[in-house]
Amino acid sequence: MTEYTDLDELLRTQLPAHDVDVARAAAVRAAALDELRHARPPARWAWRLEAGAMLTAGTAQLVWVVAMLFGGR
Amino acid sequence: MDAARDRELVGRLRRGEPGAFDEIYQALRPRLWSFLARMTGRRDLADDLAQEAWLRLARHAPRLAEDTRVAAWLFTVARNLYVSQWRSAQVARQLAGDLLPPEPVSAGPFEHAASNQTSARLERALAALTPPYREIVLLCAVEGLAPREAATILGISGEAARQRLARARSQLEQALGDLARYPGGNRD
Repeated sequence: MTEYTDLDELLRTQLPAHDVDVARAAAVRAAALDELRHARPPARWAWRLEAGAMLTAGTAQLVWVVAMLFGGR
Repeated sequence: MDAARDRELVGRLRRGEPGAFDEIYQALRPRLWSFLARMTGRRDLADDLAQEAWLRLARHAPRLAEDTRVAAWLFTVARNLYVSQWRSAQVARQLAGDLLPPEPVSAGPFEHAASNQTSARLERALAALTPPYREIVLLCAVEGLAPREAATILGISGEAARQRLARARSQLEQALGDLARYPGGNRD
């Protein structure tokens, strides 16, 4: 829960939010909407590919260790 | 914006709806820009940092978690951008060494635009606080965030945020003198 003091009240009432000038605000909005159009959700296959690669590497290391231990007999 | 409204807007933003971005932009643009202007002390720098924060929101929209609190997310990004810029400026100053004159105590970015003397005094007192104190006052007192929300934005514990806020309020009250004790009686 937020506690309000006299000082907070004074700051809130006497320090209003100012705004960017209209042209700048419009330019930023246009650029951001352009980014939004091109933003893509993270590909589902990307993490699967990464997990597969890690699993393969882990298995190969295990095979190598077993081969080193018992391969000579 | 309450949590349910945030969830709805974030859901639409994740799907790339321009209307959701517009609603957030309209609601938070002045607050975010004012925060950055008061932190940096410069309107031009606030313009650049705010622009980057909005672009990052658009870029990360599809990857936002469903329960993202938009205001907290934006203030976190904006604050991190400010810290990066401040560090770069510090390094530049150190490299320049004695070539640069000492920085004068700056007036607040809105001091000259203040509608009355009370606002002007507040802007000046706020600008005189050190950045860690100024940011927590802006987030909690001006933006009305709870100390624990501010703590998340600042990357500190809730207790540290409460202590920092108490010290910042105390400094501000000292700087404001009678104005802080009798806020209703000194309006012009």
